[in-house]
Amino acid sequence: MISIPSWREHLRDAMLGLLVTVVAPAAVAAPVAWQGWTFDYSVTSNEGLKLRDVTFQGRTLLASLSFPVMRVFYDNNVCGPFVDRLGGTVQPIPWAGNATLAQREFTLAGKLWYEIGIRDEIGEYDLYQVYYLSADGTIDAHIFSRGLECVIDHVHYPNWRIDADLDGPTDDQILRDDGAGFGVLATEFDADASSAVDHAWRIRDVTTGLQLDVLPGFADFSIPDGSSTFPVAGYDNHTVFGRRFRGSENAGWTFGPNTQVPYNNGEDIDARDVVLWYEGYLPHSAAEGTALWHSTGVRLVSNLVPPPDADSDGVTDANDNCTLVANPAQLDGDSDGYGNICDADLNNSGTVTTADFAILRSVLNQSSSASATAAAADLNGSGTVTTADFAILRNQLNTAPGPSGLAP
Amino acid sequence: MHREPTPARTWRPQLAITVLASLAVTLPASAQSPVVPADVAAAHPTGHVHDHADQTWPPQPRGLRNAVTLSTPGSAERAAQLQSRKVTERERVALARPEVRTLLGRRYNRPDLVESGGKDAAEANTSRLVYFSYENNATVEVTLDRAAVRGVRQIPATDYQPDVTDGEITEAEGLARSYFNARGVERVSVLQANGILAYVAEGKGFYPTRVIYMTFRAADEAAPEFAAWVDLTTRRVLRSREEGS
Repeated sequence: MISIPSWREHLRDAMLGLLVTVVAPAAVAAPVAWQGWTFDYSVTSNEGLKLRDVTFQGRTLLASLSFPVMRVFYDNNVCGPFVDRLGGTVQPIPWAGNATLAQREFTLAGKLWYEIGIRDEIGEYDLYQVYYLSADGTIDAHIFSRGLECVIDHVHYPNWRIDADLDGPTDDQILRDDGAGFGVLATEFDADASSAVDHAWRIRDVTTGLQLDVLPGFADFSIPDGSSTFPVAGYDNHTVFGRRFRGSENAGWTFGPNTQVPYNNGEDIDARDVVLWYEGYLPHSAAEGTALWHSTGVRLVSNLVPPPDADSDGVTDANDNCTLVANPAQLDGDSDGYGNICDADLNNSGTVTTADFAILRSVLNQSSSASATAAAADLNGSGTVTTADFAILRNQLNTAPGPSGLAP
Repeated sequence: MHREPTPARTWRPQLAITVLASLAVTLPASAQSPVVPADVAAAHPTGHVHDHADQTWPPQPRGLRNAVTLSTPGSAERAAQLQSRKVTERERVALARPEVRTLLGRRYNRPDLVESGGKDAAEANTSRLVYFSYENNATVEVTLDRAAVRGVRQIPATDYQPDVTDGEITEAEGLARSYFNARGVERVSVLQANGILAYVAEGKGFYPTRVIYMTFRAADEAAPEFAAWVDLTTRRVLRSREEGS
């Protein structure tokens, strides 16, 4: 039954609506700008933790990335099925100061990551929905699960909705690696992820060539660092859905457990505004107990080349005061544009000489805060001028300071 | 006493493989190869199980360094409070409508507020209050354009139900505890309760009434010991089960 309000009712609503104006938007959002990424986010009960308006290096990648549903089925239907919609009852996260939205930066295997996640408890399930963004253009969307609603083997089917807007909403395609290259899927489709070689899918802007590879998520609890990997075959039960974007189809999950991603009307999706749904497969054996963790996910990799960072210290070369020696703190005691670690030229003559050796000796064992000279002579940033700084100076004898991205 | 639920016919979600390969156009291979994990043997057949010894929940990547927490404790709670106020104020607008009150009847739950916030301009400022009416056994969706009611829709319970609210879980817990207590199952009185919306295995999955699946366990990481299907429409326990029985 649908009721269309009259103009009198509209007027009354408008008057009542005046009382609503002081309330902030529902989103928890505070825009994030980090290592070339910008995005907004929200936590809602119909889409979980959702990233919005995602850009990397100034280029738009995603209108949104969300987690509308995780369907759960138990063996022989002795229990369930269930539908997990995250975001309604978020829980404190101890290592995030008991915040209910975890946000942090960390380094793993020399790579810089940004993490944003929520923890939700739905029935007996304890779930952590998280996105990891790397400084070189990767997003790992992941779901971790533990708990047993019933002591019976079961399978979770988590669903991510990837609303790609590569350089804007138009002219996007979905492609699949068919062994001879990436072939365009011209109309809406439902397909096994494994129908692509190495499960390699792609979304691409026809005009600009900007693209996102859609790949199996990271292997183990470790973000891939070379120490742990996961067989591609483990993703054989994942499913990919290609859809044309329609605002009316962006209403959260209202279909219950027994429906896979709907909206396949056979529409044209070649050089259109497209949406890719990715359904994971996460089995859980009751014999494993309630505390064991399980996870699965999907990885998005852009083809944007990150700005160079030769010493991998997280500071791009253009902004790095020592481009070839890692110095994340960027200490520059004499403010000459050369970081201390590559600047033993204490008299700023242009070359490290025995004169600099004498200057350093004059402040030996002094705190770096004792004088401007001591601050410049604390080459390793230890807080005190020591013999270790002498050793650094000796290695730089007869060379110029730098190189630096901030000085000629 | 407890009785086992009747095993339903085995149903598996169909992994549809409607690949429209005939419509696909093959393009030349890209210059950039995709990055995929190495294809190596996994210790566990599913491969999804994590070695979490000495780790805390939620997970943290092993070997992470230089972690800098950027979270703002309390920000999500404040947002939830704002959201709650917003629901209350939108409800005031919705409940001023006689047709909304008629569709809701005398017994209904606290609504969920769903805001579109999408890129479709026509939907940009709309939101929906989604109720469940126990009296009429139906979902009631009130669409608002900014703060004005744009339409009201009644959806049969078998077609769609919103997620359960904390208030509903509390009510279902009370009914389930009374049920077990009346049957002499004292153990339940010392167990903690959790609830989730129940679904039937077949068809669209939604019950024709509002049914919550309640479980009772000893501690956070313990397995559930008892379960009950609680019908909030009739305020009755439909059936129950003791795990392992």
